[in-house]
Amino acid sequence: MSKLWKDFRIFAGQMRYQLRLLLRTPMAAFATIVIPLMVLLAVGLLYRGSHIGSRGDIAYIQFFDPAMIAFATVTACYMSVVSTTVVSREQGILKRLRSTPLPPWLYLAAKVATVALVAFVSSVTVIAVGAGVYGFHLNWGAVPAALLVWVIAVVSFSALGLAVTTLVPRAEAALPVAWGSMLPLCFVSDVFQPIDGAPEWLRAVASSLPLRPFADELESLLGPRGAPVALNSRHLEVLALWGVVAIVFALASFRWQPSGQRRGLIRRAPLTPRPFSPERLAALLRREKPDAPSRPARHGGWPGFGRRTG
Amino acid sequence: MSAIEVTDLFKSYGDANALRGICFSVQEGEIFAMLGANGAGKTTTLEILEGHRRRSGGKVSVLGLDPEHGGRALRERIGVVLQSAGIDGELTVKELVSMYGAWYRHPLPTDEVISAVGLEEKYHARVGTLSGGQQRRVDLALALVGDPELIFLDEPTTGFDPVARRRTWELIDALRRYGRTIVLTSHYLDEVQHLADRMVVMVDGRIVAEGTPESLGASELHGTLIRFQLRGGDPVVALPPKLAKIVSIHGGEYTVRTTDTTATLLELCRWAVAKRFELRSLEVVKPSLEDIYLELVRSEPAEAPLDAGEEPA
Repeated sequence: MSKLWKDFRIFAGQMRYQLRLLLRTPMAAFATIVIPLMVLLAVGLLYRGSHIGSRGDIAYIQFFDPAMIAFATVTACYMSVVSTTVVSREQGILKRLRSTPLPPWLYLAAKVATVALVAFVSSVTVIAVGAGVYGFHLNWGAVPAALLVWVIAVVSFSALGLAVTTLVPRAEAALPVAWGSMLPLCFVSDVFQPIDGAPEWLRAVASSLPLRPFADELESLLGPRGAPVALNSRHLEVLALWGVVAIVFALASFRWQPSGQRRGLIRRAPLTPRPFSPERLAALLRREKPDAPSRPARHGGWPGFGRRTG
Repeated sequence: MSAIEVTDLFKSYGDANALRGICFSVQEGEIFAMLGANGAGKTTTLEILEGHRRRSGGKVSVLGLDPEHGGRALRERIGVVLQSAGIDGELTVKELVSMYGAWYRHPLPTDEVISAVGLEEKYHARVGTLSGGQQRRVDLALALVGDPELIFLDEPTTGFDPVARRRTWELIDALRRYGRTIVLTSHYLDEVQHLADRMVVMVDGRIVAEGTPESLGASELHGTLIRFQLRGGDPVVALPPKLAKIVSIHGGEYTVRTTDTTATLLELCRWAVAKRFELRSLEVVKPSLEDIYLELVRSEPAEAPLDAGEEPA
């Protein structure tokens, strides 16, 4: 019991430090909370007063606000998990943690719980701003069901983020990979606009990826007024399956060491480096020609009649 | 009882062998140093002992456990200063040390640890704002806060100013007084000479010498050096054949290395008197640890191409 209590205290402490780190890097908070809000405000303005025929003629904001909850959640979980984890790994922070008794699963759990908290704050903000500015009407009866979907999504997308980190070789590649995988997915997943009119095959593909089931579920639960609260179990299955696959993949391949230190360094450099060569340097400074065979001349023959090679 | 036992340790990366069968043991309560050039395999050895890397062959026991499977139980008992490891620069010194302390069963008080590494004034400073040497002290504080029995220090004083280096030595001395075992790597021979109870010299993934700093510097093994200068600008003078074989000339300085000191000295003086040469700055010295180390590292025959190296059993 006391061991469990200690682990819980470590977990709580880790969450506190993770949050503190987040608050002290305002750019990260900006990206996760402000970007979804900006998209909501901009697109909401463009489509103000329009309705969506393919969805029972509901007001655009009734579709778009739940879609932005999905966007905010994926940004907070997937995006920030990929970028912060890769950077911590490449800086050697994860390696240092690995030499302490901090259990890896506790570290990762606290990280996921922290991004979940950020995702929650971000989602609530999206709901509040949508309601305040564009008159979004939340279907309150469906909130508990939506919360269940949301929790599964948080776990699945965080796990996907952790899994993707193993495919990112360098810190500079983290953001491009994260955005580059997330944005196209958003376009085909009923997030930026409904894809009800898209070709059948595209909708089929999108439905088997993790984001569309999540967005559709939130949209059908939270959007239409007075809609019956019914979970689509297929959506949940797809979402959860991605989560399970991601967890298995992450467990098998997650790395704690910076890429440069894992292997290869020694292979590239000979074990006994050549000694310094003061004689060589002295020759260089005297502008003597080195003993090595000189490069073949670029031109041969008479000036102006150079042979072309290659 | 030994804190660490290493038998026939091999490590290869692809077809390159980083460690080629090394054996050593570290006794409880001693300071054990590993010396060698960059790429000799010191860090690889240390990281295998810490559980960061898997070995390709051989047996390793750290505090009675296999570091590959020791897990949390082992990490509770060891402290590690890596050669280079990142740190969350946005946290303060105090936050980091108390966060790390919370993971151990019997941590030392945060304030005391910070004072011990001389960072009292930086208590509330964010680690990212500290200088390189100060961050290295944070590394040390984080390794010590769990009150470990066994401490790994990979080049702990690299980048320190001389004062900080002395203080770190005193700190390491204090750790030994309280029975802690320390394994360290270093490039500095004075550091090893000052701190280490025992040391090994590594070249190309092998241990080429082992002993106490005194035994490695023992004159019986490596002879004595007789150094002298001849009048400047002199052409190379014909030394007696016996001496010519063992002399090395560097600038105007002649060095004779011999195990037969008295006879060699007599011969040298006879020759000089006969030829009416003045032996200037004549001295007879014991080779320093540095002389011996440089010779060990240099005299090791170059390895055959990497892929021809032996494979772990």
